[in-house]
Amino acid sequence: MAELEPIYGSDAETLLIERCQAGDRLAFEEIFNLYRDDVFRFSYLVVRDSCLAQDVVQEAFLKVFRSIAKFQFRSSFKSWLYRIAVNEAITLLRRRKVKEDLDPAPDATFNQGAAQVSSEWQPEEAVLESEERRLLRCAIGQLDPVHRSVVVLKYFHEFSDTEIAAVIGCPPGTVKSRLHRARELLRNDMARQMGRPDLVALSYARLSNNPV
Amino acid sequence: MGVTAVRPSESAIRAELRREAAKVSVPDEMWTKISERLDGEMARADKRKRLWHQLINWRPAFALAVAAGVFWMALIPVLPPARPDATNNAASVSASSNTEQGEITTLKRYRREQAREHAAKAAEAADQPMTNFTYQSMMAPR
Repeated sequence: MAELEPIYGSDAETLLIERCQAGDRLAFEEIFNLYRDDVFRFSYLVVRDSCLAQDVVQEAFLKVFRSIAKFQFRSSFKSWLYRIAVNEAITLLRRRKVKEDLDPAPDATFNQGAAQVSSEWQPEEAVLESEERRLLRCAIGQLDPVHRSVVVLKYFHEFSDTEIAAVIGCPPGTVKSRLHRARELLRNDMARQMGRPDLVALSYARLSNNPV
Repeated sequence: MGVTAVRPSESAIRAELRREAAKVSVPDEMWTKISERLDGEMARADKRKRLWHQLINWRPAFALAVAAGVFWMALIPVLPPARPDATNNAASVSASSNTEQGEITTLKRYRREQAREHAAKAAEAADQPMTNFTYQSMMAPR
């Protein structure tokens, strides 16, 4: 997903931005088409709703168009754009107070299955993985927008810590601590959902060879 | 086994995020909406600019009116108070000035009467006829 086209950060992009700064709507449309998919997917992963993600993208690009004349190439355009998108997403979520869990709390059937798994501990791999994915998905959905933004930028867009720092406007050390904190939150939430931390430990040891 | 061992791996998070992102398709109409909003904003900006230009065209007239008002307000306190007999004729004298002049006239008349009464009382007290007063009063031209 984070496959960047060659134009990113290139002279062609700079030219487009300069044309856009001169008020060229066509250049702005080209910039929009260039970044649209990535910004939309980022927004979707942060706000967890397609309609809200559309709103975020629209507001972010409108803001970009309004203030692109002030952009002075001190940072990369991509960082600047994502910074605006992050702020828009967080603002929108705070304003609407969206409940961002994709799935409801584990139901009775799930708990029953978990108890069975713990007693026998020989489930099918597919079922276990599916449950683990569900847990992880729920846990990511339960992260607060700030930590989720960092996680999405890091693991989905493959941004470096420095790039994330430029996006969210903090030192790289803070990015590292936020990532660590986000993973801690994920772990705690998954354990809470299972109600069996030992079971989660075993399943994740099997799911990933290199737990972080 | 401790809870710390269940921390999800980077690859698991990455895979889950990609799976999640693959569920949605990017809508096509986003640019249309953005373009419409940009058009609306530009139209509003043009309208504001036009109104501002109109305001600028009227600015000398506004400045003249404000200057006249300020001049008038500054001039009122330094104008000489109108005399009572001229009050009726002078249309430009304000109502407050008229009232003030009338009060001064009444006060003068009151003081004159007071002085006259005081003189009469003083004469009575001295047990003297008010010859001077009567004589002067009678002899005074009317």
